[in-house]
Amino acid sequence: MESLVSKFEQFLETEDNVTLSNNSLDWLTNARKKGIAHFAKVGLPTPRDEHWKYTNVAPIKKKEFSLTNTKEHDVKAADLDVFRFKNLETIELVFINGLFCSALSSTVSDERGIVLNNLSSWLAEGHQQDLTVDAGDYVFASLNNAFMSDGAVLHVADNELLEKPVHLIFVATDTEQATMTYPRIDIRLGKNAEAKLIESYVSLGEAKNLTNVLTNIIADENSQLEHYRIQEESDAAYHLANIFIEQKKDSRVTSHSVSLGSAIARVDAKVNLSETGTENILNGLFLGKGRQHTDHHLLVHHLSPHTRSEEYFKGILDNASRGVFNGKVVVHKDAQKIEAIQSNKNLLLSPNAEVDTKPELEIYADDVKCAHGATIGRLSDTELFYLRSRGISEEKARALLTFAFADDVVNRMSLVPVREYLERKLIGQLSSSDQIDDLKDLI
Amino acid sequence: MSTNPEEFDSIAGKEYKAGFVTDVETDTVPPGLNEDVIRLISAKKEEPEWLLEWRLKAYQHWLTLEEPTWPNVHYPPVDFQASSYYSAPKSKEDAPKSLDEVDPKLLETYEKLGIPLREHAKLAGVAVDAVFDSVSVATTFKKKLSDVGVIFGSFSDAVKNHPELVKKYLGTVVPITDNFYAALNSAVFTDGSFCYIPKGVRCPMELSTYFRINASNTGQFERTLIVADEGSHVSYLEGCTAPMRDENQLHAAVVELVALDDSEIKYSTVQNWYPGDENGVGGIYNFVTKRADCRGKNSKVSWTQVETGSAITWKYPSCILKGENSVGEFYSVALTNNYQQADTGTKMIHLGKNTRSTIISKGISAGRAQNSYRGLVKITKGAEGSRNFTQCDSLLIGDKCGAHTFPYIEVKNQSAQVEHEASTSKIDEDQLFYCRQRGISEEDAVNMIVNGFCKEVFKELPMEFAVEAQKLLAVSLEGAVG
Repeated sequence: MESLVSKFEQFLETEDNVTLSNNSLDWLTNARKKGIAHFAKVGLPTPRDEHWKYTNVAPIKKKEFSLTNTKEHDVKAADLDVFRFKNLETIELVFINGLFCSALSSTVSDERGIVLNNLSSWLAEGHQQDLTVDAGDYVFASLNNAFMSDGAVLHVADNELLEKPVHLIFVATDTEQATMTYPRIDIRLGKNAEAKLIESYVSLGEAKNLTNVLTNIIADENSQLEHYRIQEESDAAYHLANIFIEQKKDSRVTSHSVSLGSAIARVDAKVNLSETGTENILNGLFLGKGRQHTDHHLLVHHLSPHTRSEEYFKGILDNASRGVFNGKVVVHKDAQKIEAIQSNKNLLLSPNAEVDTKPELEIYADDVKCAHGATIGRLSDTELFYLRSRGISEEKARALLTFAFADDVVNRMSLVPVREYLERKLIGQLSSSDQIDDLKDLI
Repeated sequence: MSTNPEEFDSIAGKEYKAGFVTDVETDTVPPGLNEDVIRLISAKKEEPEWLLEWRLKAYQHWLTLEEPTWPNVHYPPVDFQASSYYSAPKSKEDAPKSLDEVDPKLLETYEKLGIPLREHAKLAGVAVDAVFDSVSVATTFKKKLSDVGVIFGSFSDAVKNHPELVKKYLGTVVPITDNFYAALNSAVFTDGSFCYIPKGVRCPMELSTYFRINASNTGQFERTLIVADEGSHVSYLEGCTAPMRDENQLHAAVVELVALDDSEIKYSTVQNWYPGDENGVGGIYNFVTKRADCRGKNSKVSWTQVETGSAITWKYPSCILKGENSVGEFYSVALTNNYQQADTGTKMIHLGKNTRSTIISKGISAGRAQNSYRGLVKITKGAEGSRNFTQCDSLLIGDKCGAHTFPYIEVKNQSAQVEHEASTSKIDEDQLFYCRQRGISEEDAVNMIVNGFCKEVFKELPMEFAVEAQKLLAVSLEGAVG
């Protein structure tokens, strides 16, 4: 990773491997240069950084990842079946090792003004629209600016509704040389527009890749977006994500983040509730096992009066895994009539697991209702006893209680097929195989 | 609640009631800090060689440190070379043996503050070790305490009379390398209180000290050390007021508490240093390191604080819960008004098995003040079956103030149970309306609501302090409601 700065010049010149070869776009060139300049200045974060106090990216720093991705792969449509949601018709865009796979994807471009395409094709069509994202202090967002190679564009025009949910599947395969990918997802909803989008990050085999993704969401007046991200990359992978959300008057964005895979997974969400009447809900569930490290950093800015935000995160940590949560709500001056609720509950399943949580409030207005809560503990002995006394084996009782703890977050999702998909995943992770069917009956 | 700017002016107009300067001759060293000043302080106090060396070591370490900038407070940089590091009332040579011998001007000062020392001592049954600037000038109830073997007096006396105890415990809770201000304090501390409760003794009275800052331009560096030996119990009160002054004064105290097996220390503070005027000019910088070490099994330390003064407060009374079954408690009310800034909270470090801690923090912010709670709850791997409950609530009065919460929770043991909850809101309009329509004035209603909000903390204070604290809150909030 350390050699990224030196790789940048070379990256700008190689056209055949980089799908965004359209370097004539000023905004893109500027974004790239600004991004690499920021990285060159600050470098990778260390635990001395307050925002990276609990997450050490040293393992990433030491590793070499290839920027040049080969288009060749042997992924077939059927291989991805396990990652699809049963009984849910979606519009699917598939990216393999960072590159768009048109054979497995479908796109939308209709007269109503709904555009769904992969980023490079969209740029190739000659769109001049500036998609610059201000990375601020987020160094991995800057890196994404510098190296963004492909991704998805979903633009919904005013008063339009995209009925089918969009499903973006980012597949990593076990390549000889570990790769790094920088997908960019650009979502813009016009006035009164409505859409649903699911991002899935999956691995085929023991992929050792690094994903550094940036999702930029701009929701205009009275629009509604339901956004999901399901991260289940291999345990050898690294996942770094930034989600930037900008909300205009009366818009409503709900974003669910489920983090199951990766050796180190870090999600940084930044929400600007810029105008009145906006509502933002961030839900999250993270499961850690082995030596996994999962980190969610949320930052919600209430910039205008009459805005509401909710953060609801749960973590289940097993073995020697570590979970980190940092939720910060900032209520700016004169942003009155605010409601902000923050909750982070964690379950420790093993004596070696660890949780570090920091729910923060920074409030510069007075007419607010803000509350936060955090708990950390293990399964309740009384609840276990209750189940045991009814003849349920200890292992099953534990699995059941853990499942119930996690399902609470899953049940906050509106798409039932996604819920079912995740519930199946959870059961698979929480109990030994012979009990899965049993448990399913209980549900 | 409507916020009327004119009403705000009326609080602003409130004079600081404890603001005056007593004209007593003081013996002050020239401003500046270097090894010679430290040698001078040490020589003036006739300290043993080991203590001087300790001070110099701390000074050398301090030179390598940088002033911390992470607290959520803002102030112009402090020039450490501009203030004088030693000041003692002149009458030190013929130190008074009883209250009658005390400089009547000093006693007058206390009268003005509404703390008649004699009466206070007699009526309340409190032994007062009054620290006027840096040297202790009056000590009462010494006999009653010495009968049961309690050692309570000024720090310099303790260095002279009980060097072995001081040497054994000094710097073991807050080492000289701990932080910038602790290192500075270790190098230049002038006096403070020392208290030792022998084995199995329950201290017969509440111990208290009144700290005052008087001579202009002297940073005050107090050092307090309290040791509770096995099975003992002590309740210690600390209260502060300071005269009005324009320049900011630095106050960097260190308080160390050591609790051995089965002992209990209750440490209560009412802090009312000069907060600066309505424009945020002047006021005390209160950068304090307070820490308790629950070394022994079943030991207990309880911190209770009511913070209403100081321009800037930067203070985290902490507990290191080392002994099995030890208990740490933190009850705090922090009120900030006008341009005051407070960044306060606690640290609970759970090391031993079945250790328990409770944190109740109530922040009240009015005017243009900024009030932050910053806390750490750390459950280490060995802290089997430990338990923490944290609640921090903030109340906002007026639309220009801020209230912030930065809780750090680190858990490395699954058998631990940690709960944290916090809320921030303004005074409930329904409650206010209820009181108003029953003929209670808005100001009284707000006082009532604020007192109710802080009740959980006040009930932890010793009786006479609780009354004082309620009054203090009412005075500090005067006119803050529009």
